[in-house]
Amino acid sequence: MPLVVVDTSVALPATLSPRGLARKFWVLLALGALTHREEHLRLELEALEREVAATGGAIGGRTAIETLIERAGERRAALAELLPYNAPSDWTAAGGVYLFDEYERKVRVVSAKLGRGIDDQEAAQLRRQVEAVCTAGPPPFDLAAVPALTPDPTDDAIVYTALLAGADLIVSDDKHIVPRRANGAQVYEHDQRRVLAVTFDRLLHDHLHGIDWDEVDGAWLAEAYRGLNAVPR
Amino acid sequence: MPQTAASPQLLTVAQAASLLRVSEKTMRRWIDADRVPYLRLPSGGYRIPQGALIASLGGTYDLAAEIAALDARSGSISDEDVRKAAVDD
Repeated sequence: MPLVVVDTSVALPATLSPRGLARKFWVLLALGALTHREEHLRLELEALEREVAATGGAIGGRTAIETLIERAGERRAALAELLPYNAPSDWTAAGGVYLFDEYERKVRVVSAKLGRGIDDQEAAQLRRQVEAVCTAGPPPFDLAAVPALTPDPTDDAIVYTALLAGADLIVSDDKHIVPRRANGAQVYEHDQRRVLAVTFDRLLHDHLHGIDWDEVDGAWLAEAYRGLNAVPR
Repeated sequence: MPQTAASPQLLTVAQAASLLRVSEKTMRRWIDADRVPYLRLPSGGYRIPQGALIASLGGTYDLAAEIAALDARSGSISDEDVRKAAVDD
């Protein structure tokens, strides 16, 4: 299960450009999010059942958990059916509050530059799209504890998020994270943790080769979420 | 929306409240109303599964409708358009 942190330099085109290549990659991450969600919820239900067996007690809201598992499975199967046969279903994105805050700040600026100004409601909706794909995350950490890893303190928080989350890859076209001289790949190490940062082009070439992206439609992102959260109360 | 840990986590009421930045009183109200899944311990305490907590509270939003509406507004914006606009920020 490759765990990836997607920087704003890729998350912005993925969310703002419905027909671009970054969005097609995002659809792949949505499939991974559904796979992760289904598996994680199933493991949680099993953990609850073990606790009940060991200590007694009772599970509340079991039907809600089972419904969430079922819906995630349905959406995963529907999206997998649309995607090319060799599209992996286990790519999971990780994120955290600093990544989401930075995305929300930038999406307002970039949207204004594109002449497509967004209001607070749309900014929140776009942020939710990023949060929805990022089903994993690091434990909470203090910005003051973030080591200097790049020339930009804002980027340090992104790289540290990836290190703490145990990510395999950072996908970024930010020259502070993957310097131009690094030929598309840069290794970060801190406190016995390691993560490889790659440009989007390098990611597609080295890690997702063989997928026919022409066969992927960015509009399928909506398919990933259709009815997913309609859990009965 | 907070993200889940790599393995299942059963949270105390205080931990769950802290994660979602609500009061413990609010969290207990949600438990009483079965708004969130939980494990009731024989001692009377509660444990709350982190992933199911986040997933069940995400039910307020229709992400499919939201992205469809956002895409309709974005129209023909390309990756390159976005990258150019983002480059100086």
